[in-house]
Amino acid sequence: MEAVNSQERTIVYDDDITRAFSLATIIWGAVALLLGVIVATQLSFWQTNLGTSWLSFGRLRPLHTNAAIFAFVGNMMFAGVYYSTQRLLKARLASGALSWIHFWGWQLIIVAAALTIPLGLTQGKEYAELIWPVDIAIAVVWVVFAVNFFWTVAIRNEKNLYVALWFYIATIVTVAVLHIFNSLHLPTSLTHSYPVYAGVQDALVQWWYGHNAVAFFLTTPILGIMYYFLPKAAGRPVYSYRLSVVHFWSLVFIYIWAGPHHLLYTALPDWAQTLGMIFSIMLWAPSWGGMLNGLLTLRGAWDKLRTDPVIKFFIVAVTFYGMATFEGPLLSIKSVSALGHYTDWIIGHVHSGALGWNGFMAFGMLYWIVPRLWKTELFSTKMADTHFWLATAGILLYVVAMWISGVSQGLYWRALDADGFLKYPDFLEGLLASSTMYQMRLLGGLLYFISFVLGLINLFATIRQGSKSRSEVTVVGRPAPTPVSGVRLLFGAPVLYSLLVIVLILVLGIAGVITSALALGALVVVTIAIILMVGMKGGAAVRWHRLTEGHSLVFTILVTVAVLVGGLVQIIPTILTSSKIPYTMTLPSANADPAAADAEGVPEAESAMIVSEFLQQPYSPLEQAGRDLYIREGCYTCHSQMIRPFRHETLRYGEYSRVEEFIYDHPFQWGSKRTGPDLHRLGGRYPNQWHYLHMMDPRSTSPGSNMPVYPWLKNRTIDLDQLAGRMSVLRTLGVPYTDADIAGAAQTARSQGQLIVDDLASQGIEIAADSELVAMIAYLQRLGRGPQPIAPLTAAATEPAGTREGS
Amino acid sequence: MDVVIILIVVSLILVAVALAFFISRLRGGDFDHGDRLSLLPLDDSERHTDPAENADDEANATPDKEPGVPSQNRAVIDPDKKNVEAGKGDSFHGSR
Repeated sequence: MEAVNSQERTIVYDDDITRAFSLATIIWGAVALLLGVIVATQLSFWQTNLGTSWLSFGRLRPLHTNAAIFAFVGNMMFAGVYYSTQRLLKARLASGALSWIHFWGWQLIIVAAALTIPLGLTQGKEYAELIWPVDIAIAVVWVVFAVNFFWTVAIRNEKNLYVALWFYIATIVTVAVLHIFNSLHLPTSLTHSYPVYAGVQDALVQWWYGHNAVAFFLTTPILGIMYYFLPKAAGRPVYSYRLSVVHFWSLVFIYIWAGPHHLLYTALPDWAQTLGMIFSIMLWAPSWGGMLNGLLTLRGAWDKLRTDPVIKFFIVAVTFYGMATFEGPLLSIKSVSALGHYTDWIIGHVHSGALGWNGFMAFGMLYWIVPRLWKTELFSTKMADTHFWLATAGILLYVVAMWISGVSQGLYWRALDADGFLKYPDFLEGLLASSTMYQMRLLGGLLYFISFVLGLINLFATIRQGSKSRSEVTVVGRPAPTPVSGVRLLFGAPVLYSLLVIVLILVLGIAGVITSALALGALVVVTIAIILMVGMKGGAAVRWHRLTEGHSLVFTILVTVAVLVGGLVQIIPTILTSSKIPYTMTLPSANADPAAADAEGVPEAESAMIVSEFLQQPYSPLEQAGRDLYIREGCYTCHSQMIRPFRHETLRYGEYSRVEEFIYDHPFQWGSKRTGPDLHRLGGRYPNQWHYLHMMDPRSTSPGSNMPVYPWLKNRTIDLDQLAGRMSVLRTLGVPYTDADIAGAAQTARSQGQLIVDDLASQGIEIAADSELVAMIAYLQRLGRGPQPIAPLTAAATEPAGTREGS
Repeated sequence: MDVVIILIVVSLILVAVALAFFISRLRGGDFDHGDRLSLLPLDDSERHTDPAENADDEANATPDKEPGVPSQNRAVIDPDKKNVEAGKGDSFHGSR
């Protein structure tokens, strides 16, 4: 370290905050896993939904995912970041007050999530369910964390930033950007809002966020923790620091582009899907580079794997990182996605990352950090070993069960007979075939949970036998300032060349033949010039990267640029493109025989027609209310609304989904999992009575279904006076409601509800017109088709020709 | 399919250039400091003391901004623990 003076100073690390986050990790981790066991039980035994709204699968599943990601891994990440950052920078955290605001703010956010999600207060987007006031709280607390972190970086006593800190910087910057842009909502009340995006734009932004929440919340900070704690536990430096440089830059640049792989074969534009797939495949290289770097760090110390539980946890974690990052790109190949998407394979993949990578890293770190923070020894190595083996057995059972179940489901769904028609037309056949695997998954999850409890007991016993320690270090002098200005670094040749290459490649991708040829020529010229320049300068060239590492502001700006490029390239064109495109769609005529349509998948009589005019109409007030209930109950956790352009899907569900059909969907509800069938063209497929019975007791219409019952929907009523306000907000967001629509919202809803009530009454079912179940039925009957009758007198006028009758 | 050939050629050019550039920077010494940085996690200069014995120091524990904590207040270092902290020992995990 270069020093400008030789004065000695003692730095006392702030470990209280690390202790607090470590304890929070243990406690919330147990809660998250318990919730996982509960929802796994519900999938095997529907009765365990208990017929209670706040305990139903659709509400607990989002709570489980949020708890696992933000409460368990989040707290673990903060503990690891605060512990390692101070030691890598040889500096105490800049502000104790900010640290504690961060800690208590984050715990309050978790508590708010635990209260709101079971109550059905949700935004209806995966991993982004929390309502807007909580979203704002997350943004504020994250900024507090960022300020404290960068302030500590600014007062550091170590000139260059170790690679773990680079990963932390990428995390802090990117999560802030992702969270803010995906949470842009317009409130309708203190607990409800609509996203500013709709349909395909909302889908792209959501999965840009969702995928990169995995990347920059569950991966990059944990990689930073790996780069700090694994060498510490192994007693050896990281295998290759240079490989870690390549790992970092390639990972943060490529990861952000991969989001659209969650939307393959959907209505997302094809170019965006292809980009997502290609960049996902490219991720193999940096991910495995990082994995190998971690594993090889143990070179010469593999004997520790037999005796040291910390090393055991770390090595299995890194192995799972390798497995998950091999499987992710594999699933992103379009032909593999065609089989695996919407199935349990994805669930297995996610859990090999969350339980295998994050969970094992968490306990590797905790078993290392807790004895040191409480100045004692680990209470029981044997218990830690038992924890390790139980957890390993549990996760393996879990992912194997999900692989088998997922591949089976994919094959069931796509199987065609010799005549080219569905071999298993009943969706439930595939689900029932998975029931044994669901029980095996439950067993695996239970084992993992039990092992976690063992770990929890071990750690609390360790804490009980120890006492808080105070850690300090003596530093000499202060690091010299970087001799080159930040501006010069920021506009250095490597940056300019990289940006130029990116621009030329983008031109290659979007321009015509002549411009592309010119861009290609320019690319070759620039490349040759750079090679010559580098060759001439040789070792005398400015050590740009080394200097940049010592200039934290420049480094952070460059990380931000590297991260944002992919998102901007994908999102801006999608948002600027209008989705309101008229198209022709073949629908059965009004006189078609619905039975013939269902049996063969092709209507008996067809009439081609321009359907955009009636499909691109806003939802009626009652349908919109029903849609809000659909979101509240978390129906998207089991049902998709996106029919892919495959024969087996169009045979089963109807015409494939198109981008133009979702322009007023705030938020989109395409889903990511089919425990139940796709619902996009559910409207008109069944009579109202079927929907009533199905919601009250799914087994009465679908024997063998594991769907929860929803009796509370019948007993609760919607607030009709609230509808106008919500429609007004939607109009602000671009939904073309008129003043008359908004003023008459309550009356229109009541009128449409009465039509459904009358129909149900003719079947001997009594229900109130403002019942939540009526609104839900209205929404489900609207799916995939145009406006439905809203009053007896206008029924004939508003019902579009060619709308399918119930089957 | 023609475009695939162009894409492959362009990709290979870019990869080759990136690799050449990285190797050039390696030879130029841009990453030599990595050898020192990679040892940072193994730093063994940290001392562990009982916070009760240093309560007064803890109250003033922002020495990074206000240097000059008297050296006589520093804790006595337990050499065994120090070795463990360096990650050189594996005796930190008790066996029961």
